[in-house]
Amino acid sequence: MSKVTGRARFADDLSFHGMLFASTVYSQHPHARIKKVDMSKAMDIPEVLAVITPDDVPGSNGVMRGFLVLAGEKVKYVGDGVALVVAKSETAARKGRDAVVVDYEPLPPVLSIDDALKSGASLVHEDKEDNIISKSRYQLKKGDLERGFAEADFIVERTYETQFVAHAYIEPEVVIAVPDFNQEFMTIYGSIQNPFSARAAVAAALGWSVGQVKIVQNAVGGTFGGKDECAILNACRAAIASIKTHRPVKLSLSREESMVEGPKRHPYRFNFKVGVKKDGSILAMKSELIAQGGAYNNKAQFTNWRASIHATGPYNIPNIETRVFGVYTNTIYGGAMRGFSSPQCIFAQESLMDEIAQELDMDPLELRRKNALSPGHTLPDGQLLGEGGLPAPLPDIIDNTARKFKYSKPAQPQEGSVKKGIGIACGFRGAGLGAEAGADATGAIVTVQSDGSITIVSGLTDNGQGLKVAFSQIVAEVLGVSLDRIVYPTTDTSIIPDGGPTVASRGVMIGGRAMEKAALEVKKKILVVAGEILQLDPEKLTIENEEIFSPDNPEKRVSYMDVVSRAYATGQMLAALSWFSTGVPEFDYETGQGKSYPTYSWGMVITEVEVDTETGLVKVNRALSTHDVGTAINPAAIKGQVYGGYVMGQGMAVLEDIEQANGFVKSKNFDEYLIPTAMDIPDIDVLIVETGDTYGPFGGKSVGEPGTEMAAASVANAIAQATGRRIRNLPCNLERVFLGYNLTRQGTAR
Amino acid sequence: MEKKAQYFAPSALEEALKLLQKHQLTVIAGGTDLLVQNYEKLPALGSILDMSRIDALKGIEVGKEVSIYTLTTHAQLEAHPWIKEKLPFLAAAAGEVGSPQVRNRGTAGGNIVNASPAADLAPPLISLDARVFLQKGNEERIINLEDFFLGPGQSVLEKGELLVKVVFKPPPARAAGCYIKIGQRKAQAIAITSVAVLVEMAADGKEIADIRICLGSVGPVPIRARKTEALLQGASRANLPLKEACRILEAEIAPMDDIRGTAWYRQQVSKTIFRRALMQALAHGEVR
Repeated sequence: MSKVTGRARFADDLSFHGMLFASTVYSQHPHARIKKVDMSKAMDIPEVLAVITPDDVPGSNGVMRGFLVLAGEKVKYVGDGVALVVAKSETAARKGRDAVVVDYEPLPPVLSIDDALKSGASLVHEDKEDNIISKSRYQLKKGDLERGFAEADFIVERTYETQFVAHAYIEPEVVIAVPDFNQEFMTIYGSIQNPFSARAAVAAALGWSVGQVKIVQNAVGGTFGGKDECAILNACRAAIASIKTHRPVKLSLSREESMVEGPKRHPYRFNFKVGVKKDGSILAMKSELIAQGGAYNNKAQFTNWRASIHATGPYNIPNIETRVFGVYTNTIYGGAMRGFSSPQCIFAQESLMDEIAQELDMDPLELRRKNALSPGHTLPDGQLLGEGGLPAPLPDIIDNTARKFKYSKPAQPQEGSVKKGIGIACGFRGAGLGAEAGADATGAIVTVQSDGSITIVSGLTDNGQGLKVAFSQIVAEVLGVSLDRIVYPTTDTSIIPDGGPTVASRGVMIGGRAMEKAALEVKKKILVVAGEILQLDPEKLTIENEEIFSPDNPEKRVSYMDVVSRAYATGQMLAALSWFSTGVPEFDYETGQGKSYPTYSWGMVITEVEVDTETGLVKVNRALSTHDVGTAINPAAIKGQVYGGYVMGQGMAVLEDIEQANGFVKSKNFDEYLIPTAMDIPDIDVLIVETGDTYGPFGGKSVGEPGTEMAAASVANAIAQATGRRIRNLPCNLERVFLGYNLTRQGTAR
Repeated sequence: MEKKAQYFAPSALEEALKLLQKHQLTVIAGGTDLLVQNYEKLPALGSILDMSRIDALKGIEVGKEVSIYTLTTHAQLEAHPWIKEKLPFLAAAAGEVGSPQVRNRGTAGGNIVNASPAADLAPPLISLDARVFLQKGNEERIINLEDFFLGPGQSVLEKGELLVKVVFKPPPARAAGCYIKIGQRKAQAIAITSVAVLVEMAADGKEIADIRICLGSVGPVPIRARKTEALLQGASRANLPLKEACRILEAEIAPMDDIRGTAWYRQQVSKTIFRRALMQALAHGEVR
């Protein structure tokens, strides 16, 4: 709400007494050895107080699996920071930045997946044997692939590619480091998605223990997974500058700096080979996925693992072999972005489904109906669906979505140059982190204060997705009190144990479970005190509308406030720190078989477009986005997530692409990196499906990422249907739609 | 030492012209181009002459000639009753500029002096044979808008000179125009290619008496397609040499590759939108 009224204070709104400003000297080359850094001219500027290089890093210069606070020996992409200028004003800091002279010896850059894999390619990381990201290899094996191919009537082979996509959050990264002058203690304020990851990195860079660093998350102007590595590196730089100058230091990135330095959605290449029967049943699917990681990697091992489970789609394919790995390149890097490899996988997978349907001359809807994972089938990881297993609502979702959309394939051929197309995409999404990195766990603190207000603390953060509202609702519901009593302070790493990052749509699923557990413990304590007052067995009591009573004897009751007063008078604590963990799942990383995720969310999107085949202009007319959310905790918030998610997917489908030339970023601001505006947004309808899944709090499941991950695929499929030409690399921009392939880059025209 | 920047906001044109004679000034009207181009280096703009209080430079006069004063906003141009009725293609071009916010601040004069080959107002105004009135001190000169542009961001406008108004004769009743722009999205998109076609039919309604064609974003300046015009002059509506016209048009434009599109795409799609604009203009002409 404060964001709507303008009262919200973002990190850049904060100011501290004596605060200095810093600006990063960025690399001028995608790949080069640093020969000399001459800071004398910068130091001559009166307002410049310090220039910081890797020699000034008191702790570890390497953080987050190989990222560098500042590059010392060589730069690996144009977003590498080489030095940091600290000055009394932002203007002076930028002037100082421009006055630092760096002498480079350029090295041949590795710019693409093909470059990275070429024999004799230069090495992005010279301490490694090749350009393949270590620990980024995963595989999934199910059934007998060769037998599947042998039994197939025909084989389809296709390759698809996706692009670097920016999060396009409205607020670029801002961090402020504030030192404590009485002790070794540092507070970082900032637009940071994952405070605990930031705390670990800042502590490592300073050479301190994590307890000496406190991260306070401010109101965040969008993140979608992105306010992570880049924000954290800048937090490290600000902290080091703050130690060196004994002053608070602010580092506020311009849009251009944010676009060049920050993470993006990983580009992927997909090589598919599929064996299909004449009746449309898919017998075998082999897929090889290669992620372009960019200069540094902190996420491909996770995005790739997720991709290895999801790459073959929500279909009943008995024989599967999926292999995935990532490569380093001297380009901007891939990180977490809403969907975490799924938007890429679903684009490729669902394009493939449409191409199979075309080969069979079958309606694409019919092909999906035929192969949809249904009760009695097993997931790619081997988990059972239906009776005794996980919910399998996809067949119903397909039917209900098609009916609500009034789906019918437009008659072909169409008259005129403007042609209509309808595109389908189905998807499933493992909820939470799953077996990505061991157990998925987080904590929550619920404290009833003496005035009856209830303070709740989660280790997870509200990044605009409405987590605060959802958690407040959960606690108010469990305790039977008014929502007005809930106080939810800003996330602070010093008051709750590390509960991991707010990613993977785990906010409500995992964080909500911890919150529910803490609230239930507090409820128990309230009932004990109420039992003392009422002289009744606490086990038999219940709370409703702030009154505690026994349903057997409802006349005898006591108010919530009287219980709180007594608890404080008699020295009883009405607070709980609770922890929820999925436990370490049983999962075999060699075969990809086991309990990949505790449950899945299912969905489908249908999109109708109009394509002007003489210009390549695509108009998205209308879309229906269906999502299985278990139980809808906040239907308005779900719709909000889906509307925004759809538009992000639409942008990925037709517009968005970080243009790069020889490793240099060309689209640095929103005049060149175009995202859809309000004028481009179609009518979006949301169909919420409740499956009675028991896993999340009150049965709630993820929707943050499902809302975006199928949209691009549905738009691409609609365009292909309208034009009769398949674009196998995103985005389907004007030229590709007009031509069927891209002029400047290699494309694959049919 | 850097000199302190000064800020002037005169309310009379004469005063503005005097100030320009006396000081080195950056002229700002709506600021929708200037501030975006310089937002990271605003101090580099130095002293500012803010035109926004000069009421004499606002508005549109319709008489024997039409005068669009330099500070007229795109929103005003788009909503002007006479323009909307008689020259809907010019109103449409104004409506293609940026977003509502940009159209409320951005001015017709600014769109021209910014000298972008993609300026939305340039093709329709050039097709109307518009002239610009430039003033420096006491001296006034009148230039054909077509000759105003020299290259991307470059024009004949001299230091200390102001664009006062754009003037053109209202086209005859049998004339109709059309403006088509291709951008990557529906709003806030810079033209990848754009075209304005103004056609005047002969009295019998069968032949093209006069035609003017101007394209944007397909060369260093807005390009008047004179050879294509010559071919179509006198052509009969029933038997238009469209193929030949497109072939000539293709040779008249000189697009480049840039971040918004390739030269080849521009070449191809320019022909499409020219053809469409011509057909629509002819259809509008018929209605009258």
